[in-house]
Amino acid sequence: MVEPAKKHILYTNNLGRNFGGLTALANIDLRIKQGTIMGLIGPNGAGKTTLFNVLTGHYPPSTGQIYFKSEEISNQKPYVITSKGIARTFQNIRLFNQMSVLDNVLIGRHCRTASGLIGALLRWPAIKQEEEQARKYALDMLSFVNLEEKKNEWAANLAYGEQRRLEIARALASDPDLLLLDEPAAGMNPQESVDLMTLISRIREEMKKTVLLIEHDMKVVMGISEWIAVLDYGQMIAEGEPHEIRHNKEVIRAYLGDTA
Amino acid sequence: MLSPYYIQLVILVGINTIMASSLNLIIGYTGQLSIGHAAFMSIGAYASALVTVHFNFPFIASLLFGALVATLFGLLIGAPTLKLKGDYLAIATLGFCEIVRIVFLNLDITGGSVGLRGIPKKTTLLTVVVAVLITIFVLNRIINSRIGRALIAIREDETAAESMGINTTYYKVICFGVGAFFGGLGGGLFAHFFRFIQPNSFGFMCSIEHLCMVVLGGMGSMWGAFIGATAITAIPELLRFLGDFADYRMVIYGAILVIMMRVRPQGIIGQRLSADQVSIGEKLFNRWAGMGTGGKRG
Repeated sequence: MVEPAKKHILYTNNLGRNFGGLTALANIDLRIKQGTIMGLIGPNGAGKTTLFNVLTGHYPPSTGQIYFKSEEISNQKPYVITSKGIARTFQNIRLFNQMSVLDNVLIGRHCRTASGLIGALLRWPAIKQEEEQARKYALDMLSFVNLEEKKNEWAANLAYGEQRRLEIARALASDPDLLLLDEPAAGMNPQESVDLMTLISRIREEMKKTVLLIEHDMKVVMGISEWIAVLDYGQMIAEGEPHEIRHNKEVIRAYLGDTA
Repeated sequence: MLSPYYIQLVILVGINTIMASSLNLIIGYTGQLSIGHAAFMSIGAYASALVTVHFNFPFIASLLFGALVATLFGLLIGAPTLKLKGDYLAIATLGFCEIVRIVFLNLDITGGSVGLRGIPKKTTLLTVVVAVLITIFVLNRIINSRIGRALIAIREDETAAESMGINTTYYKVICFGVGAFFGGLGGGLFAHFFRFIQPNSFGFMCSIEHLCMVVLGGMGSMWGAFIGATAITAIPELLRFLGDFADYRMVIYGAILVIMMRVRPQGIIGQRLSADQVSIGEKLFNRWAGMGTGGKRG
């Protein structure tokens, strides 16, 4: 186990989560190095999405603590954690379907803007300016994921791959330091997967974000991750560089069973 | 000039527009099924009527007072019930509406079941028109702002909204507060027009009528609330002119509602994405009826 250090943008100590008698996560000591792309893999039901939900505050942890930028965030609400700089996407795309593509991204900008009820009614210049800036930022995010032309479409009317990219743009709009992607390549064809890998690399290179991604597509996860953690039955059974993970006996057993 | 009958009809349409558009903010834009809007109307009506009768408040001040008292109760009902979703919230708001009615039935100051009489007639066509315009202006501004976007996001997907940084509880409280304010305003105008109010005018049926206006006109549309309010107020009146059939007017009225829901479930001018996708109303009702996918985890 690596001791937590300043270079870790997020780390957890002995993190666990139970649902009644079921232990979904136990003894997780996750370390995410600032500025890296980290992969999180494991068989179905291993607890990957549960870990995301605990990190983002959807489920409070049953044991242990989460530290983000050296500050404990263990029992914070999801919207507070987002404003501190963690944004996520969802495994089963959760867009705001009956809102325009641009409005979806503007929602991501919500926690970086402040106008209230009185501002909405009176719309003094500062309020208009804030809205204008938010709009510009959102458009930048849309062009980053190459969806600028679709800004006035309803989110529900986008193609599947576009919806995945829109979710990423929406998360990026909150200007997170850490981006959690839950199976971004799910349901994509090979070409789309390659494009997605390029996009994730650009998020790290051009936007200087740290990325943690859950992915089943091994070509994607091995291709772009610098570090990989493996979950099985709620435990972290291995971590290391991709080539180490590929030959790790524990990991092979978790995926293929004892006989392999 | 318009005859008093038509003026009364127009005033009623105006008051109902205020009621429907404020309920539309709660149901159509924020997706919270509240079926106790009449409670806010009755609180506004009694509060404003009482300060007019007992303290001689000027008309505008008493309307404002009624609306603010209703807002207070909107926040009170909002805070504890906002953890509830869909049909559970509906039952809670319905219960609140009944409690308010029964309290007014049993208080001495409100005249109990006899009702409150002798309220001076101050509501005119002009005041109603101005109130409608203010309501629509304010609601429009809210909907087309950062707050309105947050409210619509809550309707579309509450979990996603919260994980994108929206304090959903706070915005739902705001939504109930604003909805209750205009509900109370409508009540104040109602009291100062009919000069007589009784608790049973603001019962369950009254809430359901407001709901029908929102659904018939089209959820999540400002024009929809206006058209729904006009239709629901005017249709029973127009059917009076059917001569021998006038006895059946409530039956015909009911039939029109049923046919509307069958052929145009999104309301008269409600939004519908495309043929294979559902309208806001259908989606919300599916979710409320437990058939939707709203509860899935991410």
